[in-house]
Amino acid sequence: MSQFLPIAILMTSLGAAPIILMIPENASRLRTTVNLTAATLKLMLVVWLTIVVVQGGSPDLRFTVAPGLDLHLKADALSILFLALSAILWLITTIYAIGYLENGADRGRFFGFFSLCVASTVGIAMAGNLFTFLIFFELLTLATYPLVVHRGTAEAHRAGKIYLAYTLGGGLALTVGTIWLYALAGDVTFTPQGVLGDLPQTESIALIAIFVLLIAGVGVKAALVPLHGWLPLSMVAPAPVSALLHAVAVVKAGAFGIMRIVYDVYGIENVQELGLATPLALLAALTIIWGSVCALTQDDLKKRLAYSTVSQVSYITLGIALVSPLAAIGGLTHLIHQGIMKITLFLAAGNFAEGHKVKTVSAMNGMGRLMPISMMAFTIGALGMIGVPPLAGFLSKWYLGAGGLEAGQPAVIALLAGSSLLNAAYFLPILYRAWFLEPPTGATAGRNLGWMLVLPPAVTAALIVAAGLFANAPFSPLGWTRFIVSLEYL
Amino acid sequence: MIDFPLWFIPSAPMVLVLAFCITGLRPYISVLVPLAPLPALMVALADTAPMPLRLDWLLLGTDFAVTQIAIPFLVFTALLWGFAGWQLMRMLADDPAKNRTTVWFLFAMSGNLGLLIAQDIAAFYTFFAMMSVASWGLILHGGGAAQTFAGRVYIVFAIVGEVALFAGLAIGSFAAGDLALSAMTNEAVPMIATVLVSLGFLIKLGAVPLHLWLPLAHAAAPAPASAVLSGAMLKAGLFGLITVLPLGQTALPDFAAAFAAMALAGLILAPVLGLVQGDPKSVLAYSSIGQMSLILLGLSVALAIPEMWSLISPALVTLAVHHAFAKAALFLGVPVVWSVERGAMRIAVLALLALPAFALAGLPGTSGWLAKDALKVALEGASVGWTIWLGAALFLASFGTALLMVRALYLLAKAAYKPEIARDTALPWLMMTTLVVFGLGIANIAPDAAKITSMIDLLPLATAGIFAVLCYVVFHYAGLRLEPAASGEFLGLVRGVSRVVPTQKRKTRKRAHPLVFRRFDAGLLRPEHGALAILSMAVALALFTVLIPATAPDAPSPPEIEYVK
Repeated sequence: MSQFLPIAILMTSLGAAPIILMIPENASRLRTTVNLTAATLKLMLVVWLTIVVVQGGSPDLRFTVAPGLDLHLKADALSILFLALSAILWLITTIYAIGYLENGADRGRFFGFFSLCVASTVGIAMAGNLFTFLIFFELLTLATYPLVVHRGTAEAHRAGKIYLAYTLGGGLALTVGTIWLYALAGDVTFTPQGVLGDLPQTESIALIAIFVLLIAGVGVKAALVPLHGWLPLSMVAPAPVSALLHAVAVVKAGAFGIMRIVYDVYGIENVQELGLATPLALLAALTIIWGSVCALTQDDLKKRLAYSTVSQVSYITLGIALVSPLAAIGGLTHLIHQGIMKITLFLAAGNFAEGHKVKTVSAMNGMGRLMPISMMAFTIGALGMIGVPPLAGFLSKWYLGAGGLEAGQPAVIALLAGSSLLNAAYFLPILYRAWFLEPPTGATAGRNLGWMLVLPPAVTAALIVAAGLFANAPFSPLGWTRFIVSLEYL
Repeated sequence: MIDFPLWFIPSAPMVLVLAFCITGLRPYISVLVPLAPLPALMVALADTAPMPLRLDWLLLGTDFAVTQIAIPFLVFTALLWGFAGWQLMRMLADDPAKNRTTVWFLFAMSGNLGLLIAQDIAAFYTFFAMMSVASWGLILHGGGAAQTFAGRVYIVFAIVGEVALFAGLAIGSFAAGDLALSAMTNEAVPMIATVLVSLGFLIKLGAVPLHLWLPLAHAAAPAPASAVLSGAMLKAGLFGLITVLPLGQTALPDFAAAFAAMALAGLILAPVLGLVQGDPKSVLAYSSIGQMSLILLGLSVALAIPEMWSLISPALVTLAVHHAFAKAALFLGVPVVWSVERGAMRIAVLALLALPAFALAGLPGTSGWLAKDALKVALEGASVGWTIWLGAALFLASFGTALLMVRALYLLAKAAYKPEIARDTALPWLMMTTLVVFGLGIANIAPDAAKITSMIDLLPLATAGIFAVLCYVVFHYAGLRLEPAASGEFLGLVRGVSRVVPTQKRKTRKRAHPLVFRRFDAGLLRPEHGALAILSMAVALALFTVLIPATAPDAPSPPEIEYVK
């Protein structure tokens, strides 16, 4: 029975998509029911799958598409990490989106592609080989496009066009890299410590080229500088989409892709021997600093958050590229931690825009008094990003720092310190304005937001606190990543 | 006595924070705020030390314990937070920002109490950061220009301190291979880690070049908040230094020299800069810098000569406890002075305030005299070269403090009457003044009381008195007036140039473009075309075609085997 769990989990989202698309536009109650049922069902199935994996099972399904080409779904510990993130945050974002788009136009299209987007994320999480990964990765690109341009404004279309140009370009690189690697190594099934065998000795140049192609492909989605241009523009999308884009789906798919390529295709030792780890780490370091510096100059709240994502997601890449188990723990946990922190920030930012039409940092004055719960959530998210303990972000930084030392790169500590300072420099002014300045006169009459918008950021904020505070508990993100890393670094 | 589990100490204020979220409970919570540090006090005063506690699932595995040196710190920290909380609640009764400030206060309290019992790095750093960040809210409470400026300077120093602490602790714990706080004194810990961690604590302690935030913050915060900032939170820096430096184990001559230089600079600068301040709270803040410099001097001697630590440590603790109570009594007295009109009542209040003031200056018979004497005795064991030097420093400390105290009392005597301040703010202050007398006893510190007062002990005080009278006479008869210096020292001289932001122009510049190729503006390089990705594809394809022949022969074989199976 548990053998079919991966496909069941995939179908909860993939199957829900066409159903939602077929539901008439005005039948919003039915659509809400389908949405929430699917999301809840998926969460329960993921919990079940987690139990199966913990007990040592690894559900594995193969469908041969063409000779030598398998669609391969399997659930390992790394999949669970990403699956759990997407399942929990999908449910929360769905609730938020239902509230957010109340009485909006084209909701059928929105939620249909929303489900499709999450389905691709699930597919990426459970892809058992590079080919399957590629299929779902491309599906994600296409499923996200209608969400980015949802508002239909000229700005949205421009952002959508740029988004497509970047991601399809990245997709092309990934495709070429995949084909080439299949030609070299046969079926590339994801296996801890790599599948390359003795190829690194014989085909080192080709492998380096393939690595560059693959990383360039997933790096577009992971917003590695200089491939990050689409991300700040895509913030024209509605708040729940931005939240999903930045916390769960697109950006994380990229980061997850890097993990798979480094750990399960090449194997960390091969990456290091081919001399690829240091350039990747340098690229990540550059992205961390560059994203933060750009964020400093933005007045638009969502844009500032977007650049912050550019910076923070590269912590994950950095954790992977530093060849050290401790850094890997830091990077992998940050996949979860950055997800819950960034989703909190975006959902809260969406609430500010909805409730009081506040979209810029300079208009944030007195927000703490106007929207205390949302602002509290935002504060927790922002402090977490800075790395203030006991919040989630602190633990990622702690492990990354220790990992940097373990890998013999003490500069990582300086990088983390610098990044923390920059984070403080662009987040604390927001907190200062919101909590300590008076709201503009006559601003008290805001829209009443209802629980569907207020509760989700509060819940994710609570998750940030819990993930940090109970880090040493067995099923915390940290506990789980320690388990994963023990598989890669035996 | 009730035995509180140790986790109860930091969580008591946090429980109040949670309860505070329920609007209906707020009036009751305000009453409970002064009682929140009670568990800490009871643990500290218990006859038997409580059982150490290990919470495996919390953070990275949390250890709580009350060490011998933490007990006096716990006693004065708990008492200070309690009485300051009492006065703060009275002062805030009708304040619009009451709720916000109460929450910050509770957070800072929890952090300050928690860091004294945390035994592992993660928990300690958590509590320390909680205290630092939450104090920001206390400093910004009033919302005026002074608060904004102080808040900005404070948070920059605090964040830099936190980051330095993070880096130092991360390096140290990795090198020692241990998450226990005591591992920071391990010999394996590299020098850079100790430097960074010390930097974080020295900022908190207000050691001289790093003190710029301190007078601003103490002047800007509400008086009870200044009392805990100065009395309790500065000592958290001292507690941190005592915990992480290998005192009594290894000699660190470079550290000793640096600490001594900072201490001397502080002892000289504190009275010089403090005397020209126009705000009594600012003057009190500078006196804190002077006192902390004295403590730093003790630390520097112990760092130079490790064997002396066993003598110096009780003296420093005595000094810390004494300063905590006396300085808190002075700060809590400020609103009391404000609340009474000039006249007999104010003279009475000032007369009572003179007690902690004289204690700080080291008047024989007071706690300050005992503390300074203890330090003097401890330092007498140092080699000859040091003693001459230290005697001068001790004299300077007492002399400077005495001058500052005279100045503070003088400014308070002239302070304007503020009828909006409730008269019952005097109650916590009276309690605190009692503690100035009995505090050392409560904290269970009994320095040898059988000291004989020598005339030398009176010398700094007498000199200061004569100096003060001379100044007064000169100023009075020559018709001079002291124009108070701008607060913030050289930071106070810096003004932000108001920039005219060409908003219109900026928007048209398409700032969203993340690629820096704007200058070329060649269509190909614009992000709309995703050109970079496409170009890289082209390069990759070219590479592909060049390389594939070489690999083609062996390439097809593995898949074949695959599907034949």
